[in-house]
Parts: sequence; C-alpha cells; structure tokens
Amino acid sequence: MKNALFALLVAIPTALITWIVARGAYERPLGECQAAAKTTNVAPTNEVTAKAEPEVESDPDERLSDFVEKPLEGFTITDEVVLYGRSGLFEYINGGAPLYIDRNFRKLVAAEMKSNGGGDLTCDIYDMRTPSDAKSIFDAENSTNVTTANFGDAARTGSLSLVFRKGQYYVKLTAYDTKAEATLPNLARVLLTRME
Amino acid sequence: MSKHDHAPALEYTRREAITKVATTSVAAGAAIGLGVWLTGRKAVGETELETIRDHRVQLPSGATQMVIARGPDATQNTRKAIEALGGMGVFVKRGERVLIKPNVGWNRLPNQAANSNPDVVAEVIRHVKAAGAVTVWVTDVSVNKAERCFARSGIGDAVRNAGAELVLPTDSRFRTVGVGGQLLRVAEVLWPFVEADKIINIPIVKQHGLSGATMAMKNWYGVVGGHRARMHQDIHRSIFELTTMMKPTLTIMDATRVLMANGPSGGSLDDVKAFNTIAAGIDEVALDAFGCSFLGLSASDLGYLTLGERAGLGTTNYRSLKLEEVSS
Repeated sequence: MKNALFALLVAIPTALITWIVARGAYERPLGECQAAAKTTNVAPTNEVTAKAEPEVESDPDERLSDFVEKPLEGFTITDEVVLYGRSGLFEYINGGAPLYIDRNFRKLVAAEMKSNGGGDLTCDIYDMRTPSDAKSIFDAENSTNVTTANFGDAARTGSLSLVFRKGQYYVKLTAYDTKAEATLPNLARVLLTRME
Repeated sequence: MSKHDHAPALEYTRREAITKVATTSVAAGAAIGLGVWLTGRKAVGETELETIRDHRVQLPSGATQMVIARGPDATQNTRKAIEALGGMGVFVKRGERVLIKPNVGWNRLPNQAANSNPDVVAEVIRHVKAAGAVTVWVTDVSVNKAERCFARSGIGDAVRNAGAELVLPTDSRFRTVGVGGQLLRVAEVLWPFVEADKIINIPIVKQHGLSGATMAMKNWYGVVGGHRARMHQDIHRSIFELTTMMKPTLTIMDATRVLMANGPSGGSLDDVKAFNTIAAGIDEVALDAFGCSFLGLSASDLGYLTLGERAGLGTTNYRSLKLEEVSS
C-alpha cells in the first residue's frame, strides 16, 4: 500500500511534466498557426481590431475615425471604415507595415469613398503619434516626379495621388480614375479643417 | 552530539530498498510512456497535415529553359514566351486541373502596377485551356479585400472572360499543410494549391519596402492565410521556406509595368515605369535574379535568393540556363 502510494506520487507529476514538455516542443507551432488563421481571413473590422488590441486611449481613436465617418460634403463612404492597430496594419499594407511601425505608428483609419461626381478613391489617415514621426514617414515615402503642393504642413501630388501631413497625421489619398483624382484637393481641404 | 540528533534515520532493509527502487523505476517509466502517448494522440478536431505535391515537369532535352519577351503588347509577349518554351502542352496535359496564381494582393488599378497584368493572366488562361485543362482556377490570398482587389485589378473580369474559375479566399477554404521549415512548420493554404495537378505562377515585378523586391518567390505569400505579420519577422527565410513548399510547373513573370518605389502597394503612377517585358521559365531563382535588374538591384541584395540558390532551388546566374530572348 505504501509502495503503491509512493509510485502514484512519482508517476502523476512525471507523466504531467513529460506531456507538457513534449506537447510544448512538438505541437505549439501548429496551434499558433491555426489560431492565427481564424483571425486573419476575415475582413478586418473595428471590432476585430479592438479585440486584438485592447484600447487604452479611446479619444484618439474616435478623433481619427471621425475624420472620415462624419459626413463629408461631396463624398460618400462606400465600404466599412476600418481602424487598424500596429499588428492589424500588416493585414492592410502587408510588407509596408514595418516602415510605419518603426516610426511610432499608432493607428490607421482607412475608408473607401466615391466622389459625388463619380469616381472611386481610398482615404488612409495614419496617426503617427507626433509631428516628427509624421514627417519621417512622409519623407520616407517620397517619389520621383511628384509636385509639392500647399496642404497642411507639407504635401505632394502625383498621378492619382495626393499625400500630405498635418501634425501627427499622415494622409494618403489615392484615386482610381481622373474624376476622383480631380476631387482629391477638395477632400484634403475638408480633412485639414477637421484636423485643426 | 550523536548522529541521530538531526534527522531521523532512513532505515530500510535491503529488500525494502530494492522494492522501492524497482517501484519508482516502473512508475517513472510508465509515466513517461503515458506522457509520450498523450502527446501522440490527436486532439478532437485536429486536422491531418496535408502536403503540396511537386508540380514541376521535366523539359525535353535541349529545350529552352528561360525566355525573355519584349514588346509593346503584354498579350503578345506572353504568347511569344509560352511558344518559345515549347508551348503550353509541355506543361499541361489534357484533363488536368490547373491553378493560376497571379499577384492580386491590392485594391489597385492595372496601371498602378501593384497586381499582375490582367492581359497576361487572360492569355495564360487561354493557353492552358487550349492545352486541354479540364478546370482552370485562378486565385490569390489578397492583402486587401479580395472581391475589391480582383475587381479593381481587372483580373476578375479577365478570368471570367477567358473562361476560368475565380476562387476567392474565404475562411472555410484553407487546409493545414506541412511546410517543414525552421520558421514555418505548417501553413494554412488555400485549397486549390492542394488540389491542383499543375500550378502556374504569374508574379509581377515590384519594389517591396521590407524584402527589397517582390517577384516569383515572394508571390507565394499569397498562398497562405493566417497572420502574415509573423512571416514578416524574418521575411527572407519565410519567402525561401514557402518556395521550398511550392514547386510550380511554370512561372510567367510580368514586368510590363514595374512599381519602382513605395511597394508593395504603391498608388501613385509616378512610381511606375513601363518595361514591356515578360520572362518565363521553370527556375524561380533565375527569374527573380533577372527581375532584380528592373529595380536596380543585384541578386545578392535579396537574402531569399541567396538562401534559395544555396538550397539548390535554382541559380541566380540566369544566363547559365538555355536562354532565349524574343521580341514581339
């Protein structure tokens, strides 16, 4: 009886430890991948992002979302407005994300729009936390053959594109036709008013 | 002070000691066995790992191994490239199910050069169907919303008009596949990559902020679902490991328009340069080495090419292959 009790006391922890060690060594990568897959193949939403990254500061997010969620005269939102955090950024710009994350990126609000005159465009507003971080990413994403424009703290325009920074915000407006391209300056002005 | 003052004596008879040691050994052995057995058991709902088969074909002796086709028309360049390799019949047999994998990662127009050229995709579909394929799937695990990417890129229409089947990535369409790499042991892979008899890779050449360039090898990121952030932690190794998993039948690389900066998504037409070139072949390392020239890079600038060449996936010295250059 004494021996049997002793054997149990040895056997139970040993089995448990062996199982935990072996499982940790061989099965963890599979578990991680499966769990990750469930969160990724769904189009990101505010809700998903919020679950992945619990929010500490709500006001900056509201402010960021409001730039595009409040009605914009001359433009209509055509799809769900999405707020991306640091890890979610990979789901939106993939290999472009580290460039932003290395520069103190906080959140991105992305919106698909249609100008009321017709023409689709995308509006991406990156909150880089500080004006110097916004300047850093603005400078890093420079292109050749672009024209300097007079919007916010600095701006440039190119074919189908208008990019500017204002304070901590870095804004990229991308048009998908010439109709939408013509409306980019109007949208930039509206957004700048909201960023004041 | 006697020796009994500090601790009680462990007084076993020889027989008790032998019994105790034997019991402990048996219990420990049984416990380790139990632990190993528990580890080997499958959890409820756990799926079997699948594999992606080797889709490569043996080229006829003396056949051209790589083609570079230049000219103003992407469709013509694609046709010339396929013909110079001996025709699609070398790669696809009657009755086979063929998967075509362009880069359709982005909500971008064709002239923004973030996605493969739709004219190239359409021409490849036509050749695959003419070779007798019973099914032609076209898919990509897009970065942006897939429906939007396929629509904006023009590839959705190209697929429908050319008579192929578009497969959009949805949650339920992934299979767990063994990669066997150091970084990626398993991956969630979209089902046609597991089911297809032949796979044709149609990457676009473009600058990439993290890896330097995205071409043939990097295009395999679009096979995988799940959280891609993890793969970006060591991007060169993960590109290399995905390439070891994927062994395509043929690669047709689109350098019609090349995104020279702010990749992989770009947006501004000022970042795009026209090269009007299609390169095709079976050696992805060689094709990527050639693609570097559009971006002012050399093969040694890309860590994944070094890894691929070292592992025997191909050669960066593409001129050592039987190379044909054609104009259309």
